[in-house]
Amino acid sequence: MKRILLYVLFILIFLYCLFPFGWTLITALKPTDEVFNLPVTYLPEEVSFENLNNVFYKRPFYRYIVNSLIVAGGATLLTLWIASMVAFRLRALDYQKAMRVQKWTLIGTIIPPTLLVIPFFIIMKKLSLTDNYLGLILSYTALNLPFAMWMLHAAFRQLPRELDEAALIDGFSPMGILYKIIMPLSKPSLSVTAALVFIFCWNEFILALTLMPSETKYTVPVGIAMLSGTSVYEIPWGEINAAVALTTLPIILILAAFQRWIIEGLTQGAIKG
Amino acid sequence: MAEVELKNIEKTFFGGLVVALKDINIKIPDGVFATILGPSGCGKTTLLRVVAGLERPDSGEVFIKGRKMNKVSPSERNIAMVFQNYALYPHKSVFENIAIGLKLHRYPMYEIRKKVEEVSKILGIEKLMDRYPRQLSGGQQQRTALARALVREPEVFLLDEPLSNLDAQVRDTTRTELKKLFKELKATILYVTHDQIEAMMMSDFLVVMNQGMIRQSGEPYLIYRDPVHKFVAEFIGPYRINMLSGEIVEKRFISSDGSISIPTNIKKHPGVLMGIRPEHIRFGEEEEIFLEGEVFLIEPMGPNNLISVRVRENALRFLSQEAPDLYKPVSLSFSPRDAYFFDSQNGLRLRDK
Repeated sequence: MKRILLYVLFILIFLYCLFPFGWTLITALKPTDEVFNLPVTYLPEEVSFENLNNVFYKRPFYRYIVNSLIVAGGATLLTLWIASMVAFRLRALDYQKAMRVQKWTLIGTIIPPTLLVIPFFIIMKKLSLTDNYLGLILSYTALNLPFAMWMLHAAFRQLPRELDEAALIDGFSPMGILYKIIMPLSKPSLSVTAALVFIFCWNEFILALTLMPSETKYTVPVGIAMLSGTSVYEIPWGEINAAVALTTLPIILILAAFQRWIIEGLTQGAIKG
Repeated sequence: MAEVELKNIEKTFFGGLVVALKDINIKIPDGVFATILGPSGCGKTTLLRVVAGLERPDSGEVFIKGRKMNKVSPSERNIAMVFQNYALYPHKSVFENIAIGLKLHRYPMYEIRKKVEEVSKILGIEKLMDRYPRQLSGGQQQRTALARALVREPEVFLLDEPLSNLDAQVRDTTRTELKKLFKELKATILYVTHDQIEAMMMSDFLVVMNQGMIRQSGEPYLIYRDPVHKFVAEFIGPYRINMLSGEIVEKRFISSDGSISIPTNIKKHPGVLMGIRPEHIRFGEEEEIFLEGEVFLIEPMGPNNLISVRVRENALRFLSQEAPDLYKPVSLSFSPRDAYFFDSQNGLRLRDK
């Protein structure tokens, strides 16, 4: 009996959490008139791909998705690469010294990204990197590095130092030790970090808006915000929802693909004790 | 093939707060099984790591085969090391773990196969080649780590307490196997352990360390028979040596409670510790020096009993096949030739000269 109650509760929580996404999906599949129907129809009376079609064919939405993939993917790879090298070097120091460095990087995370929009814009302008993928990639990398360094430093430190030393005697170069020994053994932590960094970049709005002014360089969140109807008074809810539903999909796919490692990474400390 | 020599090695940690190695001067002859023995924290592992090149000494020189190695990287020193926790690569199979060193040194694949096969047959792990380290027992992991070292055919083997993670029974058989295995190799072996029985049983050459210094080195039996320092006398030997404090006056050692008096050739010395090994004391009055005491503890060891006797204010332990009654007076004896005298301040052996 207790079990059944518990499951009922779980299902309720699950539905509650799923509702916004469900609502988005349902709205996306309604024909335009039905979106504004009162009283509200919860299940669409007829399924229509009108909104999806509009988003893809009338507007360059696939372009936004490609832009987002380039920027978020590039920033994630760059962040992980730099953070791995830093964390690897920090691991070679004794713990006290490493933490002294890490405390300073922590300050980087205290500053809200919004505060950095203008400095970033000025820097990128001077480097002629506005409206350039690299400008946004570098900005995102800068914002995510402290977090990634903390994650990876903690993860690398769990590996015994003797592994490096055995590898050194076997003839690995220092970079070889990082790429062939340390990183393969830290897959769970690397996946968690990658997923979180990617999601941050995928969702980021204000920097993308500031650094990428031309329409062909919009990322998905900017693209969605810029969706508008034929007049100022029309808000195309159907299309917005279609776009949102579509762009949530890659995130879900990423999380599903890395699920095993992400769970492993998040519970690592707990199991090893 | 390779002689290992250390000259004036010093090593400190935490900016000089901890002195790990002090004034290390030693020459380990070519092709011997040398054991570095000492209590935990005495610097023995650091010494091994200095030879391996994993630790840079603050000063001093490391020579292998007469060549100065201070600036040579670990992989170029022609050494192999077995770590205490084995340090196998968890994400690589047993075969890859053994083969990786050869691969990195660009051996052709067929040669790698051949060598790995040979070594794994010697160690009896040829059926485990596709497994991963976590699927192996402690003993199998240890063999894999050994195989990884052996396959490279190094001139110097460094082993850091390779038996300490095995349970007692496996350790005993592995010890014998290791000794047999290394007998057939021409390489020089440096073996670190804190277990003095292991050290006595396995080595041709023994280095006793304490507090970052080498106290004595040489053949194990000579060290057992002729310790130069109080620490060595206490550390080496199957049973803990008896130490009695007293002083030497007019060529006689007299214990502080006055119960024991032994002739010696040393003229006089204040503050003396006399050491006598449990295996050198006997029941009855067979030897020159005899004592009267009362049995207060018997520890059966199987073939022998370790008997503790109170002689006035001192307690003496000795080895006997007999089992006397508790709390009964007994008489003991020993030969003055078996007694060692040490300065109670600096622990150095006092000689008869």
